[in-house]
Amino acid sequence: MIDPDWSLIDLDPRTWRAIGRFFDPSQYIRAAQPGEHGLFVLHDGTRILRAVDSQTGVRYDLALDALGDRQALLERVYARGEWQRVHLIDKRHLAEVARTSQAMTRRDLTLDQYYHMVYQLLWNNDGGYLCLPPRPASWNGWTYMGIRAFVAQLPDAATVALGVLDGDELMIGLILELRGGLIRVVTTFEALGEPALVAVSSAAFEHLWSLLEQRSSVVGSPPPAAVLLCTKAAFETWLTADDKHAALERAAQSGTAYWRLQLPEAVC
Amino acid sequence: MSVTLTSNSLAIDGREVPVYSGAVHYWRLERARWQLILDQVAALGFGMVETYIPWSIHETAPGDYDWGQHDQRKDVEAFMRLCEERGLWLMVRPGPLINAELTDFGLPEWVLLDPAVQSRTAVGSLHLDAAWGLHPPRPFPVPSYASEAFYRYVGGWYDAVCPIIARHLAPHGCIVAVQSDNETCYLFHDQTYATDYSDDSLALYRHFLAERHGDIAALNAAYGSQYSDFAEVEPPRDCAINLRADLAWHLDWVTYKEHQITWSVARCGGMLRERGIVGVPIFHDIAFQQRSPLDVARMEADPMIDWVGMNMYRNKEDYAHVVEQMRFLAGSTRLPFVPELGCGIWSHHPLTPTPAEQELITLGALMHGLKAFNLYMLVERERWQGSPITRHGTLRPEYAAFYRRLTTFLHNYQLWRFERDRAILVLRSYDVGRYAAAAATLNYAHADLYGLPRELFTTEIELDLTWDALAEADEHRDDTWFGVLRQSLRAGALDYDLADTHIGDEHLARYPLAFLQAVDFMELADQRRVLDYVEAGGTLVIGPGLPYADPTLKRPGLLHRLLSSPGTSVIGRGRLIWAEAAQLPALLDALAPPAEFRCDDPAIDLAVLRNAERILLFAANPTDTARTTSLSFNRRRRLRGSWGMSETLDGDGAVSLTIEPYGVRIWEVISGDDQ
Repeated sequence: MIDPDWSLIDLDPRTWRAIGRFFDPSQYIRAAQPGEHGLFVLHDGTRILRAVDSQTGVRYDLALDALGDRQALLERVYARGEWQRVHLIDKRHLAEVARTSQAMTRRDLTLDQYYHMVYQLLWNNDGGYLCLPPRPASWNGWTYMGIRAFVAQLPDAATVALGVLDGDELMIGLILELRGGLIRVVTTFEALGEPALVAVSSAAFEHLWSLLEQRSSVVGSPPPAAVLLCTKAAFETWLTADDKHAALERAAQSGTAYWRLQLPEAVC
Repeated sequence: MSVTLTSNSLAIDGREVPVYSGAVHYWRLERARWQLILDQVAALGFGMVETYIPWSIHETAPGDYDWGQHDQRKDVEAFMRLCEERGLWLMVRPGPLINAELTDFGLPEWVLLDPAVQSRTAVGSLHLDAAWGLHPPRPFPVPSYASEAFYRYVGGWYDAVCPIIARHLAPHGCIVAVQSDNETCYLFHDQTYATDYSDDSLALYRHFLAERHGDIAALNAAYGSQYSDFAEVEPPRDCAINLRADLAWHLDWVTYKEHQITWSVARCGGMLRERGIVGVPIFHDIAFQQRSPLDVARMEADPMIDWVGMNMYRNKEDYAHVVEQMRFLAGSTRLPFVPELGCGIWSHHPLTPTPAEQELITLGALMHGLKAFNLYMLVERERWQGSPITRHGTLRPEYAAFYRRLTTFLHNYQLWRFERDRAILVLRSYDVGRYAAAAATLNYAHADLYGLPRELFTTEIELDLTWDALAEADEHRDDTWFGVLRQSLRAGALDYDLADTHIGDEHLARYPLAFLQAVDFMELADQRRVLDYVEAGGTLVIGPGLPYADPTLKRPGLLHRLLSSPGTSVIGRGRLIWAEAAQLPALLDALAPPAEFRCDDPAIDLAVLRNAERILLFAANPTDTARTTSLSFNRRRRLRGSWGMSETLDGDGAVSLTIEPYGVRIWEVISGDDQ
């Protein structure tokens, strides 16, 4: 999905500040959630090496000497009711994830493929990393496979754009250029050479679409294929909604989101 | 040398030139815009620029170089000439590693793919750079900085690039400093048992052991082992310290990693010198690390490295780190230098700095000792954002306005000539840092991605020490001796410098009063050095412990002979004071000269800078609320606003002031007599 030689240019700082929270790959991999009170128990398959409470530090009072049945231990500790999540981690498993992921063949992977591989190595195992409650199945309803499926249905050359307004100020003006399923260029509405959008409306949406078409004809960027213009509230709701499509439909009905998907006929 | 370091600036043929520089990446900018962009740089008030010269961009196939013949943007010599035409000085950084958010970090692919070059991790894998916070668009195998094959490749690159640099060295040309490698530290995979276990690294490790111990019998005595040859010695691959006897083996590996980094930077520096890079300082930039495996004092003491700086990318919430880093550079280096001072940020950073944040961080650094800086990036380029000058040569007004004001202020006051009011040095125990490094575990790639608490990355060690070395090493804690000391200094509004026990004699001698963190152990040479300092007239306050041994706990120390319990001993012309943490506030009251200016709000950070009779007072509010406070001083004063407001404050003993959230104010202090 991400071209190893991708170009990120003319990035307006406001857009970048608004989307920076999505960049950390850790949030899509880890079980521990921000602010969550957790207990992390590290073992080597035989012995408990250390137990760390995320709020109070190392715990010596838990009498966790023997490992025994891992699932039973996990349930017993969680049943104490002290923590929102309990993690039981085999140190050897983490070493194996590192060893397996750091191979020359991985150089062929794109950045997203690489971290998805780490995710799979970490979680597709037999008890190497257990937690209770289990790790979230997705990030706010978004999955890697879902995003890949979305990209796969786009035309071979496609521009995807997102405009988000906070009041009358542009909060996010993001443009992605894809070719062959890879993001080749990332830029912002700054590259459109026009004053920023100041409203979420049908007219503003059509204007944005036409600017993207003009850019395509002038600089040879791919034609627009998927564009979403919405308010900050609609964007935040969409991000976390269980039913993404329904959330956008509701936003459209209230005039806070406009979008268009121009897919190849075979997909339509 | 045509260009030399002073404590304030560069001296170019005897002329004082402050290092206020900005980064411009010529190869990423349209050739036709170079002149416009350099003119914009000069118009913003900068007299110096900096650029990498990236290996992989110029050596496009083994032995084939493009210096602009095929791609005009690669004509680095034309770029140098444009700098010279404009009177702009230039610092260059030819690698071999550069990062610069380039795919493969500026290293040619055929070099990376040579198995003889590649480093290996403790778990037997390659070391790919896509680990520990680095998220490049394509993983690459990290070179071993012990690889002889790597240095042969580097020699070829330097053979090609050094003649170009040499033709433009100051004073006749524009180049005033050259960097040796870049942020050398295993590409942030710097945990003790992470890497480098490649064959060449292990050979260097064994050579290091032979130099350190002299013969195998001495090593066996230290380790309690029975090796017949150094070639048999294997390094630790995780912390396995169960007994005191295990310490030496682990600490030798920790020390070897420090050695490997310094040796590598020095070797590249020597290779540059051999190829005609003479008459200008060779410098190195440390990413951010102040402890093992980075050894700033010893790196700067190496004859092949003239100058060591430390990069800084911080948001407003990191203000305390900015202050600490600057105190460390001021206390530890010849000319406090930030070779990459955040100006905008790389494209995968989670929080783009606002102009107000850049103002807070930059002024916060200046008020705590920053003398020389290079704004990275002054001119935007691909994979970067938030710079004052775009890649098209236009200004981002909201960012450019601050930098224009800044250069005006710096030059109007000649700020590089000002010195902070501080008489105190705080010394970290370098050995405490090594001990913590030896106790590391879970040094596996990607362990940083799992949201694990930091305490999980340390091994439980029970060696029956008198003082808790791991607690002292944890600078997040306020309940340690070191933590109490820093709180007490802050409470007293006392400014200070920071260094570690590897500090050189001359540096140490500048301070009449030093506070030294110590536990059971300290290198014997360092114990000797601080004792010399006391004998020469220094006052040294030490705690929580008084070392009775060397770091392996085998050889007896020197300092414990002088005191048997906390108290004071007069030694030579100075005093050694062993103090418990609870005694520190009172000791500071008794020993340190009182601060000339104080705020009744402890959240406000003050610094006083002097140049002869001229005094500048800085006040920073690193909080998210406006603070109104009383600033007190010892007599009638007028404070003429120099930054943040133009009005003059006038008071007899005190004035009231308000500072906006994350704001900085600067006043020129005018004595009552001058009114």
